Amino acid sequence: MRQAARRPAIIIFCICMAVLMGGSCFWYYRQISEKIYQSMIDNIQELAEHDLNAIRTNVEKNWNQLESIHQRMLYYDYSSVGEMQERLHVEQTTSDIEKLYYVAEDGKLYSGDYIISEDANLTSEFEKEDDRFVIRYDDVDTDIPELQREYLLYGIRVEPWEVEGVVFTGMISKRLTDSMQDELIIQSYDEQGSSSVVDADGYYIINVNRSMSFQERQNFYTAFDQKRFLTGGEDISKIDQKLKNGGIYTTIYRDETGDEKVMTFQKVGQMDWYFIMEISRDVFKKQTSSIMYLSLIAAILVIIALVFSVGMWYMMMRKSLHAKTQIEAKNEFLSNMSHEIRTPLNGLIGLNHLMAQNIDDRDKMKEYLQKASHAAQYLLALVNDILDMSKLQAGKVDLHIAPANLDMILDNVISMQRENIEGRGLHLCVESDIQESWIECDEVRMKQVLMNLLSNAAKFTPRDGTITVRMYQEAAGEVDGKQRIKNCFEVEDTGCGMSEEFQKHIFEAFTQEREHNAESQKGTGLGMSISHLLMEAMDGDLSVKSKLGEGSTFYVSFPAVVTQEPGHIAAEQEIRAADLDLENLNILIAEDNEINAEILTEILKENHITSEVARNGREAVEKFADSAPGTYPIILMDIQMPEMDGYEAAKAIRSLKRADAGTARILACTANTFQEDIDRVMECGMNGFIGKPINIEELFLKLKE
Amino acid sequence: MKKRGLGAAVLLGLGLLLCGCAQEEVSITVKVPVLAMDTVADSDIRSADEFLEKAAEAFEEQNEGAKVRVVTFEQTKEDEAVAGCFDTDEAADVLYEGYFNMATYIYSGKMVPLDDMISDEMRDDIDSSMWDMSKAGGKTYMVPFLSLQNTYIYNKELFRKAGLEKYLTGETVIQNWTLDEWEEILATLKEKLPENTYVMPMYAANDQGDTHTMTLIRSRGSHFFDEDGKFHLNTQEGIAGLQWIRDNMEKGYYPPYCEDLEISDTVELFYNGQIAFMIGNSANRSTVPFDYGVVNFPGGENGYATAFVTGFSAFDNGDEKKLELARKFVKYICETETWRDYSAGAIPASQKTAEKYQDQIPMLEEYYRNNTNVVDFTANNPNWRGVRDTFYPHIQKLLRGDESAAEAAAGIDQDCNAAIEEGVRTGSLHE
Repeated sequence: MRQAARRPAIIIFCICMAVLMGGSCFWYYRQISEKIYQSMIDNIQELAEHDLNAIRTNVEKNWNQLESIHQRMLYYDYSSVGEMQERLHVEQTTSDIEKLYYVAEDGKLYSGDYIISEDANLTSEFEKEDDRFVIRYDDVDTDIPELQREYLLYGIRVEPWEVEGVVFTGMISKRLTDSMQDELIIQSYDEQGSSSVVDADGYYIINVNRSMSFQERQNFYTAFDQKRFLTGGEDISKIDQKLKNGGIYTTIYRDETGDEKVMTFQKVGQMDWYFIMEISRDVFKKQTSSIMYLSLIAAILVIIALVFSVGMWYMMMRKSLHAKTQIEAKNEFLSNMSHEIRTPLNGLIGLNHLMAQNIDDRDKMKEYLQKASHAAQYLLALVNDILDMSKLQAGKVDLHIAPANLDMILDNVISMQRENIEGRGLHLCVESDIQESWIECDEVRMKQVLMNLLSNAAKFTPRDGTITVRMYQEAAGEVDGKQRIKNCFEVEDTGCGMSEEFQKHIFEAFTQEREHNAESQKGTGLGMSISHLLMEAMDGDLSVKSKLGEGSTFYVSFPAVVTQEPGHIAAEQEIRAADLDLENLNILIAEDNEINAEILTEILKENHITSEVARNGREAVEKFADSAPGTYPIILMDIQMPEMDGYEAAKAIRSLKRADAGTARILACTANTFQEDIDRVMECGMNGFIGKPINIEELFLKLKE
Repeated sequence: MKKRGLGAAVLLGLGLLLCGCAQEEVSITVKVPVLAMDTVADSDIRSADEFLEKAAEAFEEQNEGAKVRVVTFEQTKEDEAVAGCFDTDEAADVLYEGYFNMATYIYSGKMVPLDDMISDEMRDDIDSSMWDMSKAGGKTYMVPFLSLQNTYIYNKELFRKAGLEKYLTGETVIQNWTLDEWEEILATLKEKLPENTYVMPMYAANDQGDTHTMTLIRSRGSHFFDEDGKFHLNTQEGIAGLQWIRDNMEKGYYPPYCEDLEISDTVELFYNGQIAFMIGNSANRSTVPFDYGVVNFPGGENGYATAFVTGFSAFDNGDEKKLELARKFVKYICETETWRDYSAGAIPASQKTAEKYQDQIPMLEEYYRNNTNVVDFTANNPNWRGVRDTFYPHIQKLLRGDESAAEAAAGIDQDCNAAIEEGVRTGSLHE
């Protein structure tokens, strides 16, 4: 019941933890993704800066190289232009320059390949103001296709100098575009990235990632716009606008194949070129995925550990709280027990005192003895309840299922409680609708539950109140060919009722609601718990509906097999010691407690039975061994004794080599009344069990057996 | 009810159109080096890639789902454009170029035999000598499209300036001079030409134009290859040929430091009127902006010429559909008269085309007549790329004076034959 009530809480806790864990993972993933993304952007921008510097350095280097060549050219004296061209050829072939030219003031070009020509396409840049220039130049105008190349044209103005009447004012070098392109391949990304340079109109100066034919110059802007329309990326004109303000601009777009690309744009100094770097995002994903996964796994493990710790802490707290509650409850119980035990003890002591004072007053003595007996019975009931509870909680209760008559059970219980109820000024109302009187059940336990409910109702119902007992049955089908029936009892009272909070705990052990009068506080607080456990053991149920101040109704239901009235039921025999033929019987009593030994001796003596007392197990064995065979046909054996306990003594007696060692009846006579105690008694060779306090009638019945 | 039926039919039709009937797109790449092209069939065409673009466009129109991308590459970047990207997205599925590197590609195992797509009619239409040049291991790997006969072209104006009018003839004649005549002409040109104007081309900066150098080596009687097709220059004739090349440099016939020049530099000098000779053929002859004559390279009885067969080949880059479309494209161009006609200008491989345009193709008869003077420059050896890589450094050393003619002859034999052996050892044919 308690576990079932706890289940939803556990489920809610698990869901909360799962949500917390999922949420934490998601948050962590988002955070780390963002960090990685930012790191990726920083990384790309760093690379872009690096490549951009490489371009600037490359251009500067080529201009400086031209300056150096020119300075070296000036060292020599030339008798002819041809001689100058030979020197220029040497410079050309000893450098990585494809073609070197001097530009004369008349616009003629003098190459390192000895060519003297005119080409406005090569010299037109000198008409501008810049002292240095670099442009993309393709030999598209030549009539010889084989001569066509893709070049970068670097030019510088030089101080005019003259050879053979020709005045040179500028210098040009042609370099294959590869010379710059090779520096822009991003090795660190397994060549999956590419850097390019476009001019102001978007035409590629350098296109590392080209898929076009030789001399077929793609326009980046056109291609990008197509991609943008395809993917909804950034408008190139907006990018252009942003770049005019300087700095670096990064965007992400998806190309026609669906691949996500990270693209950076940056203006290349004074050339009016734009540097573009493009890297597939997959490259970063591949590089960071392992880190992502590992850190995510680590985060999940941490969260799991955290959740586990919280769970453990929660469980421990619960356990601790539960233990604390249990301790408190047990302390309260012990306090109650102390009170309950002290009350009758006080009565007994007081009565003893009164009896001593009135020893000659027979009537008073009789009254006091009767009261003393009640006090003792109450103490016994208290101890029995505790034992019952202990057995039920350990699942060791044994039900004695046998044919029983429900009408008779009800009559018995009502007759037993009628005086109690009516004596309190309460009205008792019984409504019975029993269809099948004979069922198979544990009659004693059934009565115990009903008695408990009725006495409880009587206890908590104020004077002039009403207690209604209802009993009815419902068909419960057949099992294994046997007809079953559901037996229902209701005990309704008009008493004080219970709070809702208390109703939740009413069937827990050691529980009593406060705020009642002293009368209602009487009892161990175990009755309801015992009744509830008994019903569970019978596959039944015990529940309650109650409203504070208006009364309570307890519902009992349990299934049972319908049976027929037995042919004859052995009438309960009230066997009295007097009826038994036990005279001349000699009993050995093994009892270390003198009073108990004396009481037992006196009881037996009153019934003409002789006895001898041994103070412990060893003495009992010795007495038996020393006696003539048949001297002690019965031995009453206490269990907990000094020197040798009852178990060992029984074994020792059974092991003696004498005729009556196996036949003498050894009856355990002990306050250890649990089933395991009884089982152990039998295992040690004893023949029976008599619980303390001794029921005299039971004692004589056992002796008679 | 009828409307509902009609609607369903329309939907079904649309569904079929979208799901089942759409032709799968297959894309191939046709690669071509930067090649001049002069064709009587289309005066707008200046280079081979322009012709291929037109053909590709027509092919795409006729073949739904077919995409043909024509990619041009610089001749100096052929390695990365072809062999360097086998089996990649940038790989050539069809190659149109001369037979220089054909053996290399055949023995790479990537070039596929085309015999099964060559019809009897096509086979009969092309001269068997061209088919022979297209074969390896008995299988045909290229379909010849046209051939160009390389000879010298000379600047008549410079000849006139040098007083060499007696050697000038009509434009449509392929001349031949004896070795003595050559010596006289070269010496006269050297003597008479103005400053900054050179006599004959020589270059060794890279492997481009190496057939010209190889042919000059034959000028003193060398057969160049032995009977097994291996280099055989380390002979009296071979060494003499190399020595002649060296002597010409010392005589100042070549531009200074010619070992660092490329063929393109000398072509540029020729077009600029600064050198008397250029290696020429039908493709580039028409672009010469001045009066020129045609003469065989020196050597033999009637001089030498080299012939460059240019044709189509297909590559297997691991995609059957692409290969199928590549072969289809080759067949389409070679069997379609319209496109075959574009070979008219050079010497068409198709005899039908040659007959059709014989009156319009300049010097066609002359080239046919000169076929007997054509020398083989590859002997169909594998790894010709490797051979070329090792050949020109020896010429560089010879021109610089780092190697004597004899040393160069021995070095060329050793290194070029080693490259051939390497090709034989490592090469494999397509399976």
